[in-house]
Amino acid sequence: MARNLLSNRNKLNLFLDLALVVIFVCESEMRFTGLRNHELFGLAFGLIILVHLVLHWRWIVTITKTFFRSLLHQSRLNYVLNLALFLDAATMVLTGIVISHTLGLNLGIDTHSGFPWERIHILSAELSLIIVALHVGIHWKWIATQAKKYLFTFNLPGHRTTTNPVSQPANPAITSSEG
Amino acid sequence: MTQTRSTRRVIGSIIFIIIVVISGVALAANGNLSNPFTVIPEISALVSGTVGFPGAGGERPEGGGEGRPAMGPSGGERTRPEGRPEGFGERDGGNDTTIQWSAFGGVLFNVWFIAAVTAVIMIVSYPLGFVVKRLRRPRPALTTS
Repeated sequence: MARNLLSNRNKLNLFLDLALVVIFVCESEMRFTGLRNHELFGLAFGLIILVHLVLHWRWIVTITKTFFRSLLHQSRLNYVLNLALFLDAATMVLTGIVISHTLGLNLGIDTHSGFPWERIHILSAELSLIIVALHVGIHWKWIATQAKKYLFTFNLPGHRTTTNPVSQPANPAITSSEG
Repeated sequence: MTQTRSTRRVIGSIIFIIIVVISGVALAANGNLSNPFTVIPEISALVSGTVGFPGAGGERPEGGGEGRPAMGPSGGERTRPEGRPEGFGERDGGNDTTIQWSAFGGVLFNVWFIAAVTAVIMIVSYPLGFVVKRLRRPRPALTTS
């Protein structure tokens, strides 16, 4: 199962992104999770974002190299939005680590020095909802296609399934526009 | 076949938009609907040097200002932005690890907001895609690899 998932990049991306969204919407509501879970989910969110970036590294490098060649291409808007999301998420996770109370991570930073760590964390978290929503919205076609393939595939009698995950190539080329 | 797929996608989009509208009405009826864009003026105020408490001229009012002061574990307090549902990003969750189902409306709001923005982009993308297709000059296909 895990091997099959790893061999199919689109499937892996879909499930990883799904995990990111679920963690994000839950941990944004701290009263729902409680402080301890909020901080644990925040760390998990940061780690999954790193994996997400690694999986899309080729896209990032390609667009960074060719950014100014065709400014009006859709991927440029995508790139700018992703950059904003990355900076915002990094701010959110790092300030979250600095002000954390239950993780036991002492970074030696004085959180009572007057610098608004907590305020920056809260504002970046609130901003991230808008950017994540735009990010998901821009990729809705990819999400719909992949969800139909891997989440809503029903083997009804008499119906031919559109996807057989076992027959996926071992290392398919990245065909999605997912950034 | 392509026509059928395209029609199916349009029907799927319409169903999705209807679900978003209905769930939005349901969230509003339960008092969980608010405007998350109020964060933008706050960030502008923070960046420009004023702290951004509403009506305070950049100074932090006693007791957290107009909003409900949320006491964090460190004793720090913040002002909830106007219109935001209670609990969004607030550090008043305590140290417990129990799930507070009474706050689940806030989670649903987050899901709904993502879906609502997606619905808006869906609606905009159809006419925009049509216009762009008309205006765009024919050019060679991009190779990414």
